[in-house]
Amino acid sequence: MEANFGNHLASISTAEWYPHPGEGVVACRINVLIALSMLSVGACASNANSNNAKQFGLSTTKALSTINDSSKIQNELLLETKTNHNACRYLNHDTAEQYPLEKSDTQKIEKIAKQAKFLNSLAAYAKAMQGVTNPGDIAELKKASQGFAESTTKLVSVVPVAGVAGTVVAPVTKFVVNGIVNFSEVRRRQAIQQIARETHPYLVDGALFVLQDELPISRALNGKLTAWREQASCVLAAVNRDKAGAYEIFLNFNSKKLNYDRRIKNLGEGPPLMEKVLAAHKALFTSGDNFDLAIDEFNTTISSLLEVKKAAITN
Amino acid sequence: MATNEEASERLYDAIMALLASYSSKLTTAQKSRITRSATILKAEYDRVLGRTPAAGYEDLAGNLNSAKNRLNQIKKERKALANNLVSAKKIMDAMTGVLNLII
Repeated sequence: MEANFGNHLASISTAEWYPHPGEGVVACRINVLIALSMLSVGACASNANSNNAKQFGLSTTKALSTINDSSKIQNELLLETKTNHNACRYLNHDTAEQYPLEKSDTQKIEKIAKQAKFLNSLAAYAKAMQGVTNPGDIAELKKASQGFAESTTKLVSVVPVAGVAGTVVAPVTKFVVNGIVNFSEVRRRQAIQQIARETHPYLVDGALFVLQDELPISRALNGKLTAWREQASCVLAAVNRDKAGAYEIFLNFNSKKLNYDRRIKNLGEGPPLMEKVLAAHKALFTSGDNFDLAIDEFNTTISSLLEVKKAAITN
Repeated sequence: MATNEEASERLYDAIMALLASYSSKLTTAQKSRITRSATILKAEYDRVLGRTPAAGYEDLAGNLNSAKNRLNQIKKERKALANNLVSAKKIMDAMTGVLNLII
């Protein structure tokens, strides 16, 4: 390609081009385009990298679904605690408040809300990473550049430089326009990588916060679970054990309790998942592969990520 | 002697190894030990890089939002380039028609 290009350059630079009236402007423009395209040849050589955006999306999804479960657990616990409290009062004919709800039992855990906010901005960032690599946008740009190249070729071929125009100028114009577009795309990829590089330390901060908060959040949720158990016990105590359905009520509470225990324990998987997010994110700007971004798969992972996010918000 | 860059990389790797070793199967004491070690290494990592870590989740949300906005800006610029090329094509086509008439 480059050798070929050199020949075109030589042809165009010959002085005999300029005496023809009316074509000076065109020749000059083409020289500017050639200068730009040479930049693009250099830029293409620096291999921008990585299809690991896909991996980044995947690991973010996993981490979010695990860590964000804390909000869901909390909301379920608070709601059921309240419901059971009401049931307890109802079953006891509203007489005694044997197990009053403490204010602390109904309050939300501040750390969980703050963490959820961070995770939501992480999801939004991952979504923007997907948006900036949208295959449709890149295809549209390519199509626009091809249309432009063809029209420029036509325009140049109309200018009377018989014998030279068709054979030399047309392929050069096409090459040059595509060169400019490739050049700008390479620059964009570099900019994207630079953004990832600058963002990375903040993700390290975030991973450490998630690590530091895992025990406190689990502990606080276990506190909520204790309050939940107190109200559930009150309901169980008030239910006539000889009546049908009592056993089902017990089973229901029991399986819920086991489920909460399991999910709170599972929050401990959050920090290692954050490590995976960081590894995938780091690969965005360090991997030597082609920066292809495996866009289809990335789209898929991001949509599942957004579903997780939606679930986290509604709870 | 290791440069700051190399030192920060090593600290980073150690922090990542600690994060990866965290698990729901660990006892509270084991979890606390990992967290303590990672916190110390992270402070050193920030010191070596001469950076001020985020004060809390709110700081991070701000930084992630600005990164998100920059990515969206790149997307917009690509779109603008495509639009400009389409406009330029129209001008070229119009000029070609005129040149066909006058040449």
